[in-house]
Amino acid sequence: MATVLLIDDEARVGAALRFALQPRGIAVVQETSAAAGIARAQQDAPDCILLDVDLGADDGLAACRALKDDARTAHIPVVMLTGMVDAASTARGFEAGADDYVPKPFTPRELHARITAHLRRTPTA
Amino acid sequence: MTPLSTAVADADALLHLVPPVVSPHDDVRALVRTVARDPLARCAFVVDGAGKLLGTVPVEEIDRDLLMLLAPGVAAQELVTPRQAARLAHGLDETAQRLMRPAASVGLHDTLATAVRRMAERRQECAAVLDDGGALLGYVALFELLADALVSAPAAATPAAG
Repeated sequence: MATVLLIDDEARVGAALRFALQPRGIAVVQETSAAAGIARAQQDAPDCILLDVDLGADDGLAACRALKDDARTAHIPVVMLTGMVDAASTARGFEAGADDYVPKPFTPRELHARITAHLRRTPTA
Repeated sequence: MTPLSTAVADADALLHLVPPVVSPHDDVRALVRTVARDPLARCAFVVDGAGKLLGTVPVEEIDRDLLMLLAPGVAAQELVTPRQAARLAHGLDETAQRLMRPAASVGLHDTLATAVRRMAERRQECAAVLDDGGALLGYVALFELLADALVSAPAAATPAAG
């Protein structure tokens, strides 16, 4: 079973992801801070990372750069979750190394399609 | 194409997860920012700290208040109700708790038809979707459901010639 690591400080986002992905055979684990998320990614090497741009006290873009600068996690696709859909914030995410963007809210079908597209492309670590 | 007999949980292209939310004490500025992020919802859902749904603030409420506050000359001909006048006294500091109204809502096992009926009953454009524990999980939008139903059954939506 593929595993997605969600790094988001809101429990409701984790509930939404579990609802959308777990019945389709994708496990979801959640960390609520950038530091804990990066540590989890280094240790467990999930198949995909969903990262909130607005992580409360933390900076999601900085966390994305840290993940992409680390050889242990650089190969893992990072999909940014954002409530901001303007072009400037999208561009900042891609500049930080993000592989994709999913705006909130999202439908289960859209989220599953995007995640599986990245899982197909990702070589096993 | 999703029939209206479909359970909300199975409407995987029409159920929008992680809806726009505010807390009861958020002001009009926060409401505007939240609503602007999701043009489809046309509302902000008001939730407590545990994610339980308290109500909804439709965009029409905010539109009218903003018009009165930011362009009073233009809005002078609008009918101002006593309730609206009382709210306007608070200006942009008015809270979601005071602006909200009861939300149309459905559970995951209700059908889309039930969602449409509840939105019609409350004259709202979207219905909150609650999980089995009663927490706000997402929403469905009236226009999107009806547009999808129209595509599914175009003949039924054509008025009889008279």
